[in-house]
Amino acid sequence: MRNGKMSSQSSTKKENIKLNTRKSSVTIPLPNSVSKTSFLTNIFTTFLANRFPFLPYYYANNIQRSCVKTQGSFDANSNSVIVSEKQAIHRLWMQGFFGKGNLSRSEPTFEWRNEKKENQPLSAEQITQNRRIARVRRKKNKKNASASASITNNEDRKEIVDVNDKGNTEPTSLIDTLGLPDIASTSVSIEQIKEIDENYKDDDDNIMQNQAISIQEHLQLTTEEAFFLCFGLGCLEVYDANDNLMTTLDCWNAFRTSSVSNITPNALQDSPLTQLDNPFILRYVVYHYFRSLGWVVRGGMKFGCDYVLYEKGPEYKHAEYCVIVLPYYLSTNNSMNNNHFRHNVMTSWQLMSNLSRVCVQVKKSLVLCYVIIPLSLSDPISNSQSHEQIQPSTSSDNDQHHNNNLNNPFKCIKHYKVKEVVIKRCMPERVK
Amino acid sequence: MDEVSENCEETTVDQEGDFDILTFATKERKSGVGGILKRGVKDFEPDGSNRQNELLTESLNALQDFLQEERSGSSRQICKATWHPAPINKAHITTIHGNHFHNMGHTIKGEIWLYPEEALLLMERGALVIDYDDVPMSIQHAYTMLIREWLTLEKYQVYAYLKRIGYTVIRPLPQDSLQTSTSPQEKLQGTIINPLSSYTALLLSRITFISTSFSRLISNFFNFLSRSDLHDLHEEEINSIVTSESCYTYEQVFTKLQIIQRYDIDLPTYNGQESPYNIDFHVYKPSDSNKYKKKNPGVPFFRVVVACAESNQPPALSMFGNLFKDGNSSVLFAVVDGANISFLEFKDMNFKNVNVKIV
Repeated sequence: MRNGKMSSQSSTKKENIKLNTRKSSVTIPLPNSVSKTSFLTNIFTTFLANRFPFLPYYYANNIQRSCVKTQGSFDANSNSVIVSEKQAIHRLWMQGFFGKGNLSRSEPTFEWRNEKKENQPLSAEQITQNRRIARVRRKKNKKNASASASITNNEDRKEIVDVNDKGNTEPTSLIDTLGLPDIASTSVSIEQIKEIDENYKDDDDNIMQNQAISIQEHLQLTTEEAFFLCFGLGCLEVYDANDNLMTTLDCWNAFRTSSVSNITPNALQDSPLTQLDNPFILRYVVYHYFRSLGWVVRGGMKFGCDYVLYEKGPEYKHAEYCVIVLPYYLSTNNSMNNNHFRHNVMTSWQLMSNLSRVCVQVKKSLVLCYVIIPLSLSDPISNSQSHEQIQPSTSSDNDQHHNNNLNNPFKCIKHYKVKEVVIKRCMPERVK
Repeated sequence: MDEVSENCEETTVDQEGDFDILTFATKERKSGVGGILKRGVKDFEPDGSNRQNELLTESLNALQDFLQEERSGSSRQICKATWHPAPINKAHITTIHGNHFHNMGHTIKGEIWLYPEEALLLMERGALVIDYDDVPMSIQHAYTMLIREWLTLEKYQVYAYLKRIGYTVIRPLPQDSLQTSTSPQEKLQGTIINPLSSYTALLLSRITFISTSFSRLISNFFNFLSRSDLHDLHEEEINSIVTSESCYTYEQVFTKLQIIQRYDIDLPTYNGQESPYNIDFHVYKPSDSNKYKKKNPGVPFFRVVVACAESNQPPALSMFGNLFKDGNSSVLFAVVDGANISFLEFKDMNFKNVNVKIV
C-alpha cells in the first residue's frame, strides 16, 4: 500500500519486496474541502449570505456545517503547532503532506511500524533500515572477497585484521546491538524495563503500573505550515497554551514574535512586531508563494537549505528543488545582515560551491529565492519597481497605513515580492 | 619553449574528483613519441603490498617520462605573427598556415588579427610564433605580455579549457551586430511570408482573444458574486484567503492563493558603478562548427562569465540585471580556483510558468 523512498542504488535489489503504491489514493492536494453543492445554489446562497446577513438562510448554515476544521495547539517553546487527533493527522498528511510525526522520520508511521501484522508493507523507516543492513552485508562480502583474492596473489601480504568484525556473520540492526528493546513497541511493561536496568527503581508507582503504556504520536506543524492552513485555507484552528482559540491576527503576531525570541533575545532590538524583515514573514512569503503554485513545500534542513519542493509529494518523486530564502533590502541596497538567513552563501564562492555540491549529490537544483522587502507598507501597493512612493501623502497618514497593514497579514504579505534564480552545476565536457 | 605537451593537458585534471596519481597505470602505451597515457582503475585503499607500490612507481615514472618528452613541430606548419601591445593589444598575422582561422581571429582591412587569448593558445599548441621587436617570444614572455588589461589569467584559463574540449569561443560582439535570442512573443510577430496564412492566423487569434476574454469575464463575475469581502472586516475579523467550500476546483483554490507577485529586475547597473561581472565569452557547440560563420555566429550555446574564487563574490541580485538582459535567461559562471574551474549555471526562472501537476 505504501511506497517508501527508494534510492537508485538499491532499486535492483527491491524486486523481491512487493510494494503496492498508494499513489491512487492521494487525490486531494490540499486539506480544505471543495464545494460539492450545485454551482448555482452555492452562488445564490453565498450571495445572500454576504449581502443580506439578516435573512434567515438555511443553506448557508448547511455550508458552514460541512467544513471540517482541525484543532492544533501552539507551543511557543518549540515554535510549532501540535495536532493530536488521529483523523486530523492522517488528513493533513494525505492531503498536502503537512507536518512531521514526532516519533517518525517524516510521515507519522509510529503506530504502523509497531503493528506486528503478517505481510505488513514496510514503512519508510523500515525500508531504510533494511537497506542499510544489506549495504553493510555487501561491503563485508566484498572486502572478504578482495582480501582472499589478494592473499593468493601476494605472498608477503600482512594479515588483514578486520576491525569491525566482531565475529558475528549476521549483520544486526543498531537497535539490537545496543541491547535495547525495540522502542517501537507500543506497550512497554515494567518487566521489560527491569530487564535492561536492574537498578531501575520505580519511583512513581502510580504511573508505572503493570499496565501497558500506549505511546501516541502527534503531528508537528511548523509555524509557516500552520499559518498557511489557518490563514490561507481556513481549515486549521490554533489554540494557545491556555486552550484559548487564537484568531488569525493572534497567530500572525505570535508566530512573528516567536521566530526571533528563541534566538537572539536582545533588549535593544526593535520589537519583532514592527520589523519588516521579521524572519517569519520572509519565510512565510516564500512558503506561501510556492504552495500557491501547487508545489508541496517541506523543510530542507536535511539538505542544508530552507525548503525543498516536491511536485506532487514525497510519496511520488524525490524533490526537485532546494530553496534558500535570501532577503533583499531595497532601502539600504542590501547592506543589512539578517542573522536568520544564509547570506553567507552569497559572500564567497567556496560556500556557494559547497551548497551547490550538496544539491548535486542529492540530485536537486538550487533555487535562490530572493524576498524583496518593501521600504514601507503604506498604501497603495505600487506595481512599478521604483524605490520612491507614488502618491505623496501626509507622513502621519503613511504611518497609519503602514501600521494598519503590518497588522493585517493579507495586506502585509502582498507588499513583498519574490525573485527566483536557479543554480545548477554544469560540465561543458559532458554537454557537448 | 615550454615543454608542456598539449596532449597531456587534455588527459589530466578531471574536474570531478580528486586527482589520484594511481590512475595513470601504464597500460599499452604506444611506442615512440606522441602516445597518450590511458587511465587505469583506482584501487580502493593502500594495502601496504609490494605489488601496489610497484604499480605506483611505474605509473609515476610513466607520467614523468611523458611530461619530459620534447615536442617539435614542422616549420612548414607554423604561422607567424607580430604582437602589438597596448592600446591595440592584438597580434597581427604575417604568415598563414593551416585552418585555425576558420573560427578564430578577425579581419581588419584584409589582415587577420588575433586577440591575446587566441594568440596565446595557438602558441601553446605550437602552431604560432609571435614576434615582438623582431624577436620571437618565449612562452614565459608571451604570458607576461599578453595577459594584461582585459585578459586576466583566469579568463585565459577558461578560454583555453573550453577551446581544448572543442568549443568555439569568442568574445561577445558589440551590441549592434549581435543577434540576440528571440523570445517567443517576438517569433510570433515575425515576418509574414504568406499573406493568406497571415490573414487566417489573424482571424484565429482574434477569435481566441474574444473567447478567452469572454470566459474570463464570466468567471470574474462569478468570483465577484461568491467572494467574501475582506475589506469590510474590522481588524479582528480577518478571514482566510480561501474559505471552505468557496471554490469548486483545486485550480481555483490555488489561483486564489496566488497573492505574491514576482520582482522584475529592471536595475540597469549595480550601485551606479560598473558591475564586476560582465559576459566574457560566447561559446558555441563543436558540433555546429560547420555552421559557424564569423560574421554571423548566431545564438551562443553558453554565455560565460569568469569569476575568480579568491577575489570575487557570487553575484548580488542587482548584478543580474546586467547579465540577464536582451532576453538571455541563463548565464554560465566559470569559477576559477587556482587550477580548477567549476561551472555554475545561473538561470532566471519564473516558477509561475512551470507547469505543476496537482496530483
